[in-house]
Amino acid sequence: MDTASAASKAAPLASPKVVKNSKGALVPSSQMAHIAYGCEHMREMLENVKKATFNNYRAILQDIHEKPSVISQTHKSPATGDGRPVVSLRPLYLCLQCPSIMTETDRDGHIESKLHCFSVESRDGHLYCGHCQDFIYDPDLEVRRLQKGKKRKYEDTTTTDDHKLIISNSTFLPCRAIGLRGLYNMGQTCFMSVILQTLMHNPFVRNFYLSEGHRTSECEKEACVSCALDEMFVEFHSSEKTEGFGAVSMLLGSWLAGEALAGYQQQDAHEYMQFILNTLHLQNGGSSDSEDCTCVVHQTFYGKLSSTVTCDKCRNVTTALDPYMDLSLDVRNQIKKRKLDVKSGDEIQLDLRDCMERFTGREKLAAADYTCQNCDSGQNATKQLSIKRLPPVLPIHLKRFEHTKSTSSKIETNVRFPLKLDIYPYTTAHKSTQTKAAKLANAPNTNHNMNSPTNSLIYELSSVIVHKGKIDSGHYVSYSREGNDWFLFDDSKVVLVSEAEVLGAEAYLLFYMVSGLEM
Amino acid sequence: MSEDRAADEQVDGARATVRLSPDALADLTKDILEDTISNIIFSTALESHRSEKLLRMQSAATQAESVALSSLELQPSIKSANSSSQPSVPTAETSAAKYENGRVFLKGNPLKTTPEIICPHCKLPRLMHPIMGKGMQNPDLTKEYCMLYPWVQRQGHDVYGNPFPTDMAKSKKERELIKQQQKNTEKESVGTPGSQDTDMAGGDTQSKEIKLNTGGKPASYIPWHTCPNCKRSLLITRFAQHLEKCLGISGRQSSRNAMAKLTGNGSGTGLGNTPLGSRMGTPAPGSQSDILPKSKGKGVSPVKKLNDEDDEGDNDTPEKKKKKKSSYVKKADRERGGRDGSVLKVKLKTGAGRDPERKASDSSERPDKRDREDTNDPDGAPKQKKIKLSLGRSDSNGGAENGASQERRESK
Repeated sequence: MDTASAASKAAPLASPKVVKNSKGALVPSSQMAHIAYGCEHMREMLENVKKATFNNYRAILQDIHEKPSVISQTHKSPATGDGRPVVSLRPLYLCLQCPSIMTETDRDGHIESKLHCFSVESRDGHLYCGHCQDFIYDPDLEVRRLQKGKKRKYEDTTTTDDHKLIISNSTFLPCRAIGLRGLYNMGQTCFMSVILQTLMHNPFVRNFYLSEGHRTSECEKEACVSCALDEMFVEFHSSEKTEGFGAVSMLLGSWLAGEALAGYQQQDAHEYMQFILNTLHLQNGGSSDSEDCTCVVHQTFYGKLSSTVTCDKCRNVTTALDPYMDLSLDVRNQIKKRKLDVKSGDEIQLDLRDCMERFTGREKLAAADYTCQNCDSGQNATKQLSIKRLPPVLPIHLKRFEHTKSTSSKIETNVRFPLKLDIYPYTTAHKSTQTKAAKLANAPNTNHNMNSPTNSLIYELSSVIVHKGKIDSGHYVSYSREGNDWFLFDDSKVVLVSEAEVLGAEAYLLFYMVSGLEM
Repeated sequence: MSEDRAADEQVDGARATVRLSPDALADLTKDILEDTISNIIFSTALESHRSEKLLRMQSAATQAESVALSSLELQPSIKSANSSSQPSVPTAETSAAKYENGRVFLKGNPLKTTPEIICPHCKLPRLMHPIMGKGMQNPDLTKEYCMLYPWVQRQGHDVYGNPFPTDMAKSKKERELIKQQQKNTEKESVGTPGSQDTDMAGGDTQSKEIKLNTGGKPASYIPWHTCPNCKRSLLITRFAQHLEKCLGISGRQSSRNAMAKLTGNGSGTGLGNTPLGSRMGTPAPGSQSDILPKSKGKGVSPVKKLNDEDDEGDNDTPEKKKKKKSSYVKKADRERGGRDGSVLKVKLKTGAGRDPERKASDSSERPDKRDREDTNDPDGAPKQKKIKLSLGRSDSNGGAENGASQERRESK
């Protein structure tokens, strides 16, 4: 692999630059010790038959992730003797050196009798070493496992020279500076803090800024919001401080850029999000055409909604595409009327998926509201929204604030939301198959693979913004995930919390992030 | 979903060959349930096995690498004596791994061979348990640890173990009152530090023990920040309120500023009676954020620029942002500044431990207090402190590792 060769070639570089830490131990500049193999036995294997091993492993991974799962979940057990194929729900082991598929107990026998030391676990493709009697994580093979046996679509363009350059010109950041800092409340600025925190913990935005996407030194704008965000990323990721941060230049920049949001008063976090995304788009060289804008904001948040209107009379369909940066969902409790009859004692709970269903459901338009061009007259029609294009990070806004002419109120309905959301049912692709497939009575389109089912698009919850209290006197807090840990950001406080607490929160804005990207 | 599918096929297969007994469905349900739960446990266990083993693998490699590099450091004298043709290939062997010219070969299972987790970045051992709160264990303080501590879960404390700021919402007077009270109680019981939370494990500063560092501030700490517009220093919690007035968005000043904008005159005060017809070169209101060139002092509004001109150029930090000396120095500060030879305007306090005492007059007390906290020398050199102010950026980029570690020790 690229990294392996790079590290080995770069190694002599380690000697000229020797740094000591405070204890006198040596700290080589920005270089991590490179592990060559997963274990001694894998070293022997790869040194002898590298290519065959890689090919076999890739083939097994493809079986696991692409073929019907029943193939890798069926074993012929020699133990019972009759050799009948048996399907197992539990993980089986696919020998890396021959086509055998075995149960856990058979695996150990196979290792002894055939001296086939390595086998691949059938659910996630983890590699088991019979000599270590343990799962091993070989750097080269792990890369293939995480790619699910697919070839990379895009080549890693960093060359050996690049690696050398990086190693000799960089140092490690303080270990503690991993971006977990609070933001001081500067006086009713929590609406800003929560949006900033979700941006700080958005990997796409973070990578953009940490890779010098916006160069403050070259920026000529006065009170630039993008520079202010850059300043925050630098501070959060390079300083050992743990207390809060005063986002003064961000506040100043926001106020100067957006007159509507300026002033010492409470603001709506959703409005601020729309404002800051738009401002960042403009300040990072975004083009006016959102369709092919390459700015970080559009690359991260831009999607398209398809809106189809079908005339009830002539069945003429008109389709319009609308860009979006977030989905605004209705949380008014329409189900209440129906469920009151059921007389359940529990509080009626709305689920995010109900809201999405309703959002993409069919809606009747009255003749007064729709003029069919085909019929050239007002006609009853059916309207349906669906997601045509999904962004890598999908913000979902729950419309908790209701504004009528005279009053504004907050809807405090509890809306449940999942950690993993399958968005496929709300996409245009799904909605179109639904109508046609129903007519043609086609069999459901599936590949019978549990690892990568065709009809699913999994997004994972990454941040939650919560509004507490009344409409006019409330407080915003946010939750964000880092690795497997969830953190609560309440102004300058950062607290480790449980998944359960996050899922029980009264969400106002939800951020779902795509669970995997193909490279 | 997918589980069900596999199960269905199993059921189909069974039905073809044998008649089902009445209990079959119950048995089957039980089997499927058991298998499914066992799969969940299997996946969870394997996931944590993976993350732990990867850490241990890296630790074994890091240790071997450290040994190799330290032996390399001893060699240069010998090497130069023998020949300078070929730099010697660094090799080393520990019980867990072998290091050969930049590659590490593991020996045995790192879960057995390597009990400790070594940070691959700073090469120091990681603490394995939180230093307080849920699951805490007192660490061996004779060793130095990687600063990435396990997250603390404790009521009223953040993930680093710092107590929450307590008196954010309190007014200045209230805070001063509390300070006064704390000071009085401290006088009565000399020697006991005010807050025991932040340095619970290393109570006495004098000992050679390495102290655990939560990195934060005492609960009463509220930072000050210089207003980019008017260069006044003020509490961060009051910032929005101040900025609103300062920028002239609302409040007393706003109408005057608005008028100043209209007249196109920079001074912003006392020109209220300029006739509206005389405007010239008026910038379009609201678009100034785009059209203004970046001035030297960032965020200086045209209104205030004139007043600030006189302090351009003294106190030059290489970074263009923040920490500019202000022309607005309170009287007490000015006096003090004269004595110290420099005016410290940035209220960065270090020292997690002690609760700062403050005299009634806040402003005159600030620089004084810094000195007392950071060093035991009451007249500690303020020049040295200035290095710290620019830390955030220059250290991380410039690779001044030693400087950083020095700072770390200092701040304990």
